[in-house]
Amino acid sequence: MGSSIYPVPLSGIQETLVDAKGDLIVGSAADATARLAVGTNDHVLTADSSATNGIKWAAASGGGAFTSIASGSLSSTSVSITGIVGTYTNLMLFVRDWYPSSQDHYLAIRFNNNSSGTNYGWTLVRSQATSTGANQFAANEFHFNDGANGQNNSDGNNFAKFTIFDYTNTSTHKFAEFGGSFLAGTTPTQTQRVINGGLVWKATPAAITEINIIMIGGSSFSAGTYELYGVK
Amino acid sequence: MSRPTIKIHNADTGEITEIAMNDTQYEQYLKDVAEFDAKKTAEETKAAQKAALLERLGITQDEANLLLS
Repeated sequence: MGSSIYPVPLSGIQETLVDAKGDLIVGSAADATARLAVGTNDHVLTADSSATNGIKWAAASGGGAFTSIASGSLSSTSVSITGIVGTYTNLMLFVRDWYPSSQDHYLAIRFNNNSSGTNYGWTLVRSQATSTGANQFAANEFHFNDGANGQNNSDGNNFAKFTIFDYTNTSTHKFAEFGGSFLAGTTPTQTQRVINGGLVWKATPAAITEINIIMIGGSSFSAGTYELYGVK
Repeated sequence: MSRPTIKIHNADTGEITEIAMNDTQYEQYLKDVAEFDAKKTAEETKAAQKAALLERLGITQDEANLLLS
């Protein structure tokens, strides 16, 4: 049985082509290679025919259907998120872990800082003895803890979610779904209540460019966060 | 007495400011507080009337709920 002789390759990709951790070897043309230096942290590899090597590192473009528009901590008597651009289809707002600095004060929402007239109507289901609530356009803001006021308790585990549909529409009223939970009742019989419902804002039709998160009753937010996302 | 503050987060520029209320905002704030106080007083009055009625009838809240169910 004869032995095999393997030829030593006369050309190949030299390891000296890379200079640093994370460098990539990419094809730059037919039968040609090049070094692509490691990109910025959190950037992703993106095809780009106009780039020297046909590929580049770039910031992720939105990460899918949800794009963060604004986020921060709740403080003062209200937080107004202004300058909301109209490049999305819907908006989603999360308000977490808030509680008022005074007993019984509660979370409310306005759109475009509209407080004139009674343009907010809603219906809701709540997990308590009085299990439903409704407001037939008799309020100048939306009351999240309607009929069951908020506790100034840091262990409230309060959470509210709003999905605001078609917010750039300038010809119809705006509709939003909401849900979440909050602590209510009187010490020591405080109970966590689950809430779910829908609300309509029927002011003169206009795109929503501002959302006001308000502590109603005169006190301030002792804690909490807000996150606003654009949804395509 | 200094006016309450409001926080403004401009989502377009990312700028966050916390400022004292202007005249319009302060007027709305006072209106909101007055409405809250009126609502709370009404709720307390209603609760007191309810408690007085239950006492006159000599039944508990649970018994009243049973009658109404």
